[in-house]
Amino acid sequence: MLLDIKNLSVTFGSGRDPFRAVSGVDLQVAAGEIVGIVGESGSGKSVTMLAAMGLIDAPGRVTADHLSFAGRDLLSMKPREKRAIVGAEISMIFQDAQSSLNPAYTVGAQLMETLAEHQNLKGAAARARALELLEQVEIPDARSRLAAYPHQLSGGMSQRVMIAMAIACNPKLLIADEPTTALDVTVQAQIMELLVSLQRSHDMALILITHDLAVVAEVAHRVAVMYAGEIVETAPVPQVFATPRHPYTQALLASIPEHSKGASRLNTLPGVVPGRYDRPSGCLLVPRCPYAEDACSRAHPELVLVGDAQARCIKPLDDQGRPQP
Amino acid sequence: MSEPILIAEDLSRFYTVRRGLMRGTATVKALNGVSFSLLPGRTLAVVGESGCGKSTLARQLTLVETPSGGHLKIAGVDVAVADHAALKALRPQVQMVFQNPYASLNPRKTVGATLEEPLKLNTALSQAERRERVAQMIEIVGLRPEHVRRYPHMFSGGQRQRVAIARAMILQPRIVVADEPTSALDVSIQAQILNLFMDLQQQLGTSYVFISHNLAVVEHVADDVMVMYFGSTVEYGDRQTLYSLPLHPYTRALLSATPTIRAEDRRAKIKLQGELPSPLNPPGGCAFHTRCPYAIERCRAETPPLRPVLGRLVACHRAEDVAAEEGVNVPLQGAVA
Repeated sequence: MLLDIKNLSVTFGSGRDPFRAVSGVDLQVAAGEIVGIVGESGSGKSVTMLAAMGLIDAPGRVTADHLSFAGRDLLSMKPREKRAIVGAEISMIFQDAQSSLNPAYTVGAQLMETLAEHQNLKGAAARARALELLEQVEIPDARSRLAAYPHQLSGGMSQRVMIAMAIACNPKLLIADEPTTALDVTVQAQIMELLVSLQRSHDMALILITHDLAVVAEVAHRVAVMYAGEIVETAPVPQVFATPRHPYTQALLASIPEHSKGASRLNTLPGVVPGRYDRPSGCLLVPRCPYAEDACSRAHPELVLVGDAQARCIKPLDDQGRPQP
Repeated sequence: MSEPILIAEDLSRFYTVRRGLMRGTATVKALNGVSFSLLPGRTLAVVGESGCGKSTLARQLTLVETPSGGHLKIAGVDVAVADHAALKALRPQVQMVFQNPYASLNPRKTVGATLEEPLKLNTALSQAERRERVAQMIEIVGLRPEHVRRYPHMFSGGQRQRVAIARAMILQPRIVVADEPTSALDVSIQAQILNLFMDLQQQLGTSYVFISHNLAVVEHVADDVMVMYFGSTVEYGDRQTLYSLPLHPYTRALLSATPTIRAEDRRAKIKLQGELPSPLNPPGGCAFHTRCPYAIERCRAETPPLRPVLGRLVACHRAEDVAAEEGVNVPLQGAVA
């Protein structure tokens, strides 16, 4: 396993009044695999990945039974060793590329800084490599773009620059956090195509954090669905879209307009994700779940194996989308 | 068939921008001759990417700005020639719902005060009557009575959007312009809000101009669809016609770029080159020719007019060739209208 996470939890807030943003997340990512992490805002998708990269600052607390990358234990590693991995072997791109770039430096300077830091490339060699990277991410007229400032780039171009920086050190794992959410659809399609082609050519693993199930459906090999800080289902694509095992996944799929073509109303999941003070004691979906029964409120369900999927439900759905008897 | 509630003819809006010291000014044609009509109780979706003029169109329709050219007729009143009093009477008829409910509500006002304000300004209702209307509206949009005393920060995004919709609907407008009303929301909340829009339309007979870049959402809510590119209409027709056989290369690119879950619905991706050209330096001929996979020499020289082809309006020299590629023959010009 390239990335192996077991029982990861992230807690924010004071000791008296702690809030678990992420609890008990297990996630394995193999080399060269594309994994989609989907969920609504506040479900803990981004925090999970930031924690895995060691980017959660105090007062946030990260605990895990096991956290390793390419066989090396990230938990016991010294900060200096970790810095050599994070940013080089694991890199990350974010939703809003324009604000992730430093407005005061040119694109070239920012790219060359990464190269100097991680690969000890300076001067003309760094410049040549920066140019090569911009060409790899298909930026037209790359030579003149080296001298461009971020404000001179469009949203799609900025995201390409971010991707160029992220792949500068040939990472084994690229984490893309909502990489296309701020972009127009035609540009989104271009960026997704670029990410997938880079993933293939560099043999990287790609973790795609998104709320857009359709994006995941088109590119991911496997998907993890998060709800209120937990993984509620992991399953291979495309099975998860045909036979979701967890009621939340089913409801999420049903609420997408393309699933109710011709219908006058969309299926909805009533209510909202429970806030920090109103988390139910049993299964977190109980107040919104159409299949909830007494047993669901009694104990917190564990992930159970259903075929090649895992679902956190005491009665996972069968192939017809009904709870198992 | 009833009269259209909204008619736009050759509607344009140009902005003058300064290009910097000693360099004079330039004109940006943000909206360049757009025509359409909207029947009562129907929904027109306006689709396009950022910079295509969707929001400029919204500002003209809501009478926030004065169009630079063309005609806009709302509920039978020609906006260009109407006097101050007529415009004042017209404004409550067209209301707006914005994209970001985190920014569109006043954080210092309670929901009750926010909803009461349009009634104070536009009606002669007494305080008791206003309160009653607010209470009714709160219930219609699916909020609870005690919510009127709360402030926007105490609500989730979906609830805030419900407040914004209540504010737009409280004057019982004939037209609501919704500018990307669900793109800041999660999918499960998006479904709730879209249902609310549809329910309100059924109950109140409101017409919607629904601005969106999400073609899956548009397919769900729209009766008619108008696709815009670079300030102009490139394709305009009823939803069924457009979605079953899109003829403009840009419409096709948009549809193919929209990710879908069901593999059988996926269209072959049409790869567009580059991005939107600079509005300060518009390309000659068809504005789309710089990115169009079908572009020929003629497209560079000649701006294509919007013309009827196979039951919709399309602005493309090669619409017939596109149709032929899909195995549909276009009857001779003029035979279809």
